[in-house]
Amino acid sequence: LTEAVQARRLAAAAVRALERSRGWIDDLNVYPVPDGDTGTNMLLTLQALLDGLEAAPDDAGRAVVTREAVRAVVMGARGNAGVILSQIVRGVTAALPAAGPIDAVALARACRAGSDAAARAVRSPVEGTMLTVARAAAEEAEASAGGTVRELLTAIVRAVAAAAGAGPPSALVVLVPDAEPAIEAWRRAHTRDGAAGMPGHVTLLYPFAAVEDVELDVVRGLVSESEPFVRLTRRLAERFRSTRRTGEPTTR
Amino acid sequence: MDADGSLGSVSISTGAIAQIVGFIAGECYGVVAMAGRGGRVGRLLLGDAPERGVDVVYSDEGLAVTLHVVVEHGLNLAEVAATLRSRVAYEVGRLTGIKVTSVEVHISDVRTSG
Repeated sequence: LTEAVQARRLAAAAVRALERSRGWIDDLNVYPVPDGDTGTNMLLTLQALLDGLEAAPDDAGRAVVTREAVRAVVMGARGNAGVILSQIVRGVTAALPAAGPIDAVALARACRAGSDAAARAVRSPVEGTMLTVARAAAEEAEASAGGTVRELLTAIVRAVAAAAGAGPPSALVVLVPDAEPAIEAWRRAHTRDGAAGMPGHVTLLYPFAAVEDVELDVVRGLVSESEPFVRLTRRLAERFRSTRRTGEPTTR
Repeated sequence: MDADGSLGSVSISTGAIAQIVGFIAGECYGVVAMAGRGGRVGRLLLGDAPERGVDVVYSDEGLAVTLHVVVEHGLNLAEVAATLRSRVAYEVGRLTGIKVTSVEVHISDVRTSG
């Protein structure tokens, strides 16, 4: 198989995988604007990359294939995710060896270059985006570069899945439903947790524990009499015996 | 821009909104710096005025925002500008409750970061 044919197969497999997950990626989209198009944008971007590779001659060498890939993905980049993806592709392709087989060490170096290239184009990156996932891939690739390419890819996929699924830690809170009429609209408009539907509360402990560690036994323990947070909550309840409005807040 | 209420009024200056816009732009993918008037390019680092390269005009219809930015070389400029526009309009509207009528993005320069 020539370089061009192999690259096309790789890109086509990526497009097929993204076609399957596009819907739920769209649903996850909250940043930079919650308009539900991240999966679609990434799919269009990768499709543009594949189209570019298909236009390249079958016997094109690696230099031509990578140049066409970068040109196509930059020109075809759609949305914020697409633009970041184009920079990852640019960094990865620039770090590949000029010819010959791509071993685990070369692949790890390419992963790092992809992450670094993507990170360079923003001054104050917001965590929890594709940049976070690309960095996790690079770190795992460097740590696992001693094995085969297959082992490396497996390790990267596992690390990336963990990074993508690593949501925020849980919090231990006391809900304050009495305060809801006064603060609900403000929390919805001005706080991230309020916008996500979290009711008004007092936070006792944040971060509390990894979400996967909060099991039924943990929750049961929290409401037992020996638990210091239960005693603290009682004390708080005595101290803040009632809620009342002191005036109508206004803005425009 | 003020609003009267039972407790008095809340006002947000265009300077404050320009600062908010500057912070949003700094987080926007592809924007590596803001450009001041006369082409002077600033760096998005601590100590730099956050409202540099941002103009905010308030009218009865709402806010008109203009940004002058420097974008990383080799990115799709149209897409970077489109994301910046929608992000500024969405976030300023969300944070201030004031309608954003227009966001104009000028790419003053393109830079290659080391």
